[in-house]
Amino acid sequence: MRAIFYILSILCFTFLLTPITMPLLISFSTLESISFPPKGFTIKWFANIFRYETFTNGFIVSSSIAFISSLIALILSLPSSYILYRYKSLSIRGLVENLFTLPILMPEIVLSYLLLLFVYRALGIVSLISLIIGHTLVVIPFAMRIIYASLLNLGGDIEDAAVSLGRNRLGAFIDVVLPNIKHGFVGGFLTCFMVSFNAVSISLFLSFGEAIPLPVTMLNYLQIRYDPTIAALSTLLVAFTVLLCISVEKVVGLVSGVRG
Amino acid sequence: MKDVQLINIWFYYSKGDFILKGLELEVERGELVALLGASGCGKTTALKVIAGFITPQKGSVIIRGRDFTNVPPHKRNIGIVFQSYALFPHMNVRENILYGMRIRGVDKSEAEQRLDHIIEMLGIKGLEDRYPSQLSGGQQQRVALARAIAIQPDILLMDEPLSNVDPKFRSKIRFEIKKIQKQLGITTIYVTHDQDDALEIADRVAVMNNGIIEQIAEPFEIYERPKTAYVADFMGFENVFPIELIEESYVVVRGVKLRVSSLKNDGKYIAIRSTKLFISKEPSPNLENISGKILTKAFKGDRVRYLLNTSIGDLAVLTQNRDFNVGDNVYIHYNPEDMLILSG
Repeated sequence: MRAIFYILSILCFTFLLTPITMPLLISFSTLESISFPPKGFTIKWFANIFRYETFTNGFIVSSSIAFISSLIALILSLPSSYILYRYKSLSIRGLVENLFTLPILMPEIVLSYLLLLFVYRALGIVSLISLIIGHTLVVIPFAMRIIYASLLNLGGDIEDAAVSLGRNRLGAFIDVVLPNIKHGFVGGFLTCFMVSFNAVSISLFLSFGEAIPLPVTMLNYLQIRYDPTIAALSTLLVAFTVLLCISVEKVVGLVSGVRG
Repeated sequence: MKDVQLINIWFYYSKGDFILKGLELEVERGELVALLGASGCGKTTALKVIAGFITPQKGSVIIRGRDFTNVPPHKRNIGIVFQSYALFPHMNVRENILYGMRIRGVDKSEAEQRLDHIIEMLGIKGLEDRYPSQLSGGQQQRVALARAIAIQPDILLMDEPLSNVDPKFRSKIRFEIKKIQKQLGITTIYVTHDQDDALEIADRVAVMNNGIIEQIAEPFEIYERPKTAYVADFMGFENVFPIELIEESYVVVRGVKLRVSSLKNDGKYIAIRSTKLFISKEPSPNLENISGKILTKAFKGDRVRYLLNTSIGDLAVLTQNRDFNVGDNVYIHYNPEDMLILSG
């Protein structure tokens, strides 16, 4: 029984991890095009990434968008999840909860298209700002879930306890609620950052002009040249994501944080 | 002197659905009153009204003669021990206990002195630097109590403090709480759903039902002489029946005349404990008899619990007599003094 379990696990992981190892192997290949099996060893494709300004620019754009939209999502999530946590019998409770989790149910591509129509065409908001609006929408359910979960873990009484000891509501919130959900904040931030960084279709639909996020520059590059630079870049991105994951895990435990 | 007066308190969360319906309560200085009731009876809501977490739509909350009805909770001087203990997870024991004093601007050396005294009194010495997650349930409870009394509150409120404690230790902890309460002479309102809890710890027990106090009395009094069917049921009277008719020295239940010793004209129910009923094969010449048939027999350690089908309904009997079996036709008798008449 145990043996079967191990074999199944190994098969699953092989299936999941093989595609990720492919770019890693190819990125060191001396062949001029993306092909398998790789040949030789070189790091020129990695060097190539940094020669190409659109990539570094793309990385900065993507990171900035991820940073800002995660921050906005957290700031919006805190008061709303706090309301859900404190007022269990609130009549608009269901509405608030749905409003904040709805974006996760909508296919990203549909959301992207709608945002293109609404934000760009109708409102005439361009580039960076429309990207930030879109990314905030995509990450807000994650921020909401994680903050709400950390509030629930805290239990409902400690704020009342501080109030009964003589602190006013706001002070009690600052003194005893905030310090105990800071893990949720950090975890929520890192998770949102990752989700935003990887939200390709939103980036694809909403980027114009100068501010081109990294995934879009990668696609553009692939249309012109088919060399292992993209594989090298993918390798770096995997490393970057893994690092983020590890830091999330260190701070809150990704699993418990997301499942909430 | 009265420390707490609740006068005609009405409260609802959603309109029309009242949780407190004209609640009245008076608590003397230094007294420990237990609010006893099933879940949903309004006892925790009553506690929140006193604490100030909710404001009643009607009625007044008077504390030490001053109207506190509209005073926010942080401006009332009330210590609370929460059911979940609600210790601050990011503060150690010392910081938890000092928190209230710090907020109230108690002088540092004075606060340290109080801290030492309270830690000594509650037997939590040596735990000062631990965090709540490093404490056992019992220790957390002591710290919660310590934190609540450190602010020297006018009133102490305790919400089901024993519900997370192992039943084996409850009696011991009740005794300790009571000891500290008397030592400090602190007026205390203690919410519980557990009859044993209330009877053992309280100076007076208030049984709550449906948003009001049905009866408030000393433990012995309320145990022996409940006034309503609800209170009787809560105090362990297993046999409660509605009265159809009251005659001179007996009441009629389902067409059966039952002799009683004292009569109240407003009697609505009769009640008798299962331990005050006796079973025999033959009718007793001296006592009142009801005939019946044994439905079930259950072993209860030194006693046996029989359930009988009788002409007035199903009767529970708890007795040391093990000789009867399911299906036996028997007589149940009782002493008329043990038959209580309830007025509601």
